[in-house]
Amino acid sequence: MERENPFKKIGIPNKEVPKELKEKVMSEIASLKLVTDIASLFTSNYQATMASFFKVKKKS
Amino acid sequence: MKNNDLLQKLTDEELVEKIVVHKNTILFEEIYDRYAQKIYNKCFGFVKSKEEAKDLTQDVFLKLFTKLSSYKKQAKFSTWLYSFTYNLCVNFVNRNKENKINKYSDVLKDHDIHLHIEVNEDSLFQMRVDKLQKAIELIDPNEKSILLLKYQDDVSIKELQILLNINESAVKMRLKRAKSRIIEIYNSIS
Repeated sequence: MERENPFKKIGIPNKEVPKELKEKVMSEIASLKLVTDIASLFTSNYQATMASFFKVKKKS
Repeated sequence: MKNNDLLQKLTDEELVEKIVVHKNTILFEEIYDRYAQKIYNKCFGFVKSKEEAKDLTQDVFLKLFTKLSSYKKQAKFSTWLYSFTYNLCVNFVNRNKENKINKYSDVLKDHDIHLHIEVNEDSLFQMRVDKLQKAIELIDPNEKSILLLKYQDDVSIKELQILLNINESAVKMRLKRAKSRIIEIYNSIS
């Protein structure tokens, strides 16, 4: 007979996630997104900028 | 069909792909709903209180939002997420220098030479759950992570190679050490 894996029973019964946690997490994520969105308005894609700066236009 | 139904039909991997492209917080909420229970309980396994578990879970989801693009689909998303969570849990525990787990582990490290006993899975599966629960609380958090990934989350050796970024023999060696240690601690508990 195959033995049951005791690791599967560790921490059982599962604990309930506190209800208020979701709101807290999602609000933190919204703030984080706002900050990164604002930051992206003031930063450039430096790699692309430098590449275009050094690019030599072909003579037509 | 409602938006919610559409979201629920997406696989984790499809959802992640969309979140990475659009940085959409509503889509991320779906990931939270799918995994909050699992992540919270995994965090609880590494800390002592509900408050710490809450803080750690929040930290996992915040870091997840910023690091989602580093998921490269080499393993199942759930497996990658569990490994990501354990990493943060290990960092959290290691930051706490006063923690009893570290003290106990340091003592055990002194006996490294005696711990290279081959442990087969049958003797692992003979362990009593209540005693194993105590032993797993005392083991080094890094070893705890690899044992939980392998025996609780059913992560294969191949996936462990990818997640830990080490070769097959190194994975097997780490597992062997972790199994020896858990048996050693288990046997030392009266």
